[in-house]
Amino acid sequence: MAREQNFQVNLGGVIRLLSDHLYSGPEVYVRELLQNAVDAITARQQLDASHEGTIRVEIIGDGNRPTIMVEDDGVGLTEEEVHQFLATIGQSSKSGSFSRKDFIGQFGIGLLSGFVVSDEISVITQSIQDKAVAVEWKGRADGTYSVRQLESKFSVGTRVYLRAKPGKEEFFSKQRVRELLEYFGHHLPHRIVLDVGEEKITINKVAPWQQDFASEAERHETCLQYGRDVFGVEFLDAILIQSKAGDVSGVAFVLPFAASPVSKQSHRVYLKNMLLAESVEGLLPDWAFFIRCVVNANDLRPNAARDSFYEDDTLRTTRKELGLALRNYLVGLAELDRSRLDHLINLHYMPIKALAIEDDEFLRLFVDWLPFRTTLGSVTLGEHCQSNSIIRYVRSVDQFRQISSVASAQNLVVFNGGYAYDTELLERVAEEFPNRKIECIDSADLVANFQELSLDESQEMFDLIKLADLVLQKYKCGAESRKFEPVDLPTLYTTNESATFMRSVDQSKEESDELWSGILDNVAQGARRNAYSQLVLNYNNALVRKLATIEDRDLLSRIIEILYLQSLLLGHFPLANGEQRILGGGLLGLIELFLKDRG
Amino acid sequence: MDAELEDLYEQSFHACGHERIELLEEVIRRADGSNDVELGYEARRALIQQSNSLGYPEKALVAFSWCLSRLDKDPELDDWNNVIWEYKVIQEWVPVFARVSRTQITSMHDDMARRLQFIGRSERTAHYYRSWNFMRMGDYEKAYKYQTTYTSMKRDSMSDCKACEEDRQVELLSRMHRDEEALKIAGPILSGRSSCGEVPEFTNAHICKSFMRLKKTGEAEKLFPEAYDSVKGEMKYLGTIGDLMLVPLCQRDFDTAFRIAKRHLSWAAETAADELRFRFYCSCGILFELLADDKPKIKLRVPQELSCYTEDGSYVTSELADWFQSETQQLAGLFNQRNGNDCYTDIIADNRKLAGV
Repeated sequence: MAREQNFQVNLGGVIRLLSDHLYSGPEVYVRELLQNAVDAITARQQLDASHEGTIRVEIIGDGNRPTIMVEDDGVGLTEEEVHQFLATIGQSSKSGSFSRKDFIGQFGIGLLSGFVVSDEISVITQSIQDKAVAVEWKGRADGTYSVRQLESKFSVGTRVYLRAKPGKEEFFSKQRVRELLEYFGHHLPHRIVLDVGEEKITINKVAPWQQDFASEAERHETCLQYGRDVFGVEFLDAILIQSKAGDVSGVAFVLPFAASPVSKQSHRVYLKNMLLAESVEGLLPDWAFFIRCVVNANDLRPNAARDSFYEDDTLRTTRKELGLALRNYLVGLAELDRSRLDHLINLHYMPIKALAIEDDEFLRLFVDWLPFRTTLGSVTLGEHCQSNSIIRYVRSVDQFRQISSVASAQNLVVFNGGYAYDTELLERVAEEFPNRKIECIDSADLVANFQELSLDESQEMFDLIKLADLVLQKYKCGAESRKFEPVDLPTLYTTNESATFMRSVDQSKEESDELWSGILDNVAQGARRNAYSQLVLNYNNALVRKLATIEDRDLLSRIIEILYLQSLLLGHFPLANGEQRILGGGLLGLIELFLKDRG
Repeated sequence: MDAELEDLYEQSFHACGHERIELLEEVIRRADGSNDVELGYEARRALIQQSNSLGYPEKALVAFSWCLSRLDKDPELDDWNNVIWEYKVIQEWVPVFARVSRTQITSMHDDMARRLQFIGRSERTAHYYRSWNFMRMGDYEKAYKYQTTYTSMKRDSMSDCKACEEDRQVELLSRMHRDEEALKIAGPILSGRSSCGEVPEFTNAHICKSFMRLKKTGEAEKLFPEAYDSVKGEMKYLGTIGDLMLVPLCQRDFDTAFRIAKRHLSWAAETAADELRFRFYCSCGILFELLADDKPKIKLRVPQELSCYTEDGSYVTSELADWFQSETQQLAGLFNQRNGNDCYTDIIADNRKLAGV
């Protein structure tokens, strides 16, 4: 018959694991000791609501192997509880009759972190229970422990003693302990005193979200100062935020520099007023990448590594509520402080655009103030609409580059929809403002608006265009002639997404094997619409008109190819194999002809 | 690399959305122009990821085939493990193009299996994609057979995450109308215990369809707002959005269904992925058919690329329904022909039934 056996646990190995993988560094021992003290006081407050609770930290001896003592006046432990909780890894006193949500610690392994900096942990505890005697527990890093009853009666609470192990003394210096207590615990509601000889230092500082302010100005300055202290940054603005879900309160800071949508902001987060982590992501909606926060959450679930929260319904609702608070702040600025809003939009139009896409009401309020890049430079939608009845935009930066010089020469305002959010935003504007005429155009539409040639002019250009059509057919490019500005531009190469896509397909097919070449053909067949690009010859350009007088078709063909090549290079289009041959054949041929004439 | 090109490449890391795609495409054009194969390769790898994540599979495919053949010629360019990981995503996309033949798809499986063997991995991942692609091609029995095969094999470093695998299983079972089983497997996803970058985003639509078939419309309605909210921002979810529209349609909540149709029509014009357009058009057709009695005429901003476009935006609702239904039928015809079965016609009938038409 199989015999049930217990796992043999190597405590040293477990501690190394905790130290290397679970805890971010040895300094977290202070957090874990504070956490146990706070939870013990919380447990006592559940029995006696008037109990305030104090945590006293003392450093005994310095230099060689100092000892730290952390004392709380919490609920204390009986001997039975000591055996149960201090000597069993993974067992927590918070998993019994008390509700887990009232406590910071959840995992029952906090005390073990003491072994990261000490070889022996001593605990003296006096339970609040009437007949309990004081108990001393000594645990050693080799996994052994002893428990003894003490004869004298102690005040109710627990004292934990850690003696620095060799090499870890730095974590026991007065300065370091003070820094760590402040770092992890300065917002805790219980009084924390660091006792070093005669000196008694109070650690606690009230967070801005825990304070009442006499005036709006005082609130504003206190929050900004808090931002300077925490992040060392002079923020543009600071807003108190709250969420019922997750019981979250805190301060949101507006970054003083533009942030990229791909740079996810991380936030400093306290859990039940104890520092949880410096860089928690996912607390705010994606669009709020211009904000950094410091918040306290009382009702969100931290993960085991305690560096983020579980993605559950409460976190999702919290995110929505905090997003709403930020949205309301922006709407409030629109009503009360336009100059600050203008400054903010100037820096952070990207996240505001991201929000406007999601939120129709916000879009209606803000969209006229948002800047867009156009062929006449950056303008807000409102400025544009004051003097224009139509909003024309191209979907891509590529298209914009093709048409920008020509459009601006003709004073035609075209919006560049290729930047993040802009096309989507303009399409939302079309939905929300039916009286605004919004047109998505491409370079072919622009060409269609160029002035047509008269009958005589088109007769003059007929042979040239016919030949150009023939010459460029193998490059999937058509030719035509129009009049457009600027006059010194002889040709304009325009392409559309389908044509650009087809160029990339052809290029990949040149590299691919039969299987992939076939797959690409079939994919392209479905995607193909008008896959021809266009070379528009400018009738206003003297060179172009001169070309129309040349009768030598061979010479003309070479010139047309060179003009085509030049416009491709201007547009940074890669040259396919056939086009690269123009560079060789076409140019050399031209030079030969030129030299023949000279000879 | 010249300074301007370096600057452009750097810019692409800070950009997002379609802007990043364009920047990368320009980097590729310039790198190719100056015969910088390494940069051309690196930028294409970035383009594949960005295009896949935004829902431009045609761009990803073109860039991927270039990378694959380049790597075959010069194995020093990259680690095969990275490329095969991309290959997995490409395998997911290929069958959504109706014109890619069944033979090409199965040859691609064999190609992947060979490459997995080359890097010393088991055929599990190839079977996983065989299951996925046969499901896309409506061959559910074969898909289920491969699912049974891959789930019985040991996971390895090429395996998709657990949440993704569960999602695929839920979709297959839901398509097979084995809805109770689908919901059972979806349990960890529904409770939030199992999730990843695309789960439950993709899964919610299959779960809703199973709920609706089991007459648990209340459950589907409860799931719908969060489900739609999580997919409304990315074009790769257009098919999912189409499927989710069945929930408000079933409830005759035309405000919601119309708002969704209106919002995503421009994606339908933009996407090259026939299967996504099919699922979205199918629901649009049902929407306008149901609306036609109450609202014989309707105003709608239809993208110019769609052949039903009118300049003043006024439409006879029943004609609009006919147009969407005819487009859906046409796409179904292409898929059925490719697959050698009537699966896509069955999906239309099933969706109509779910919407109570």
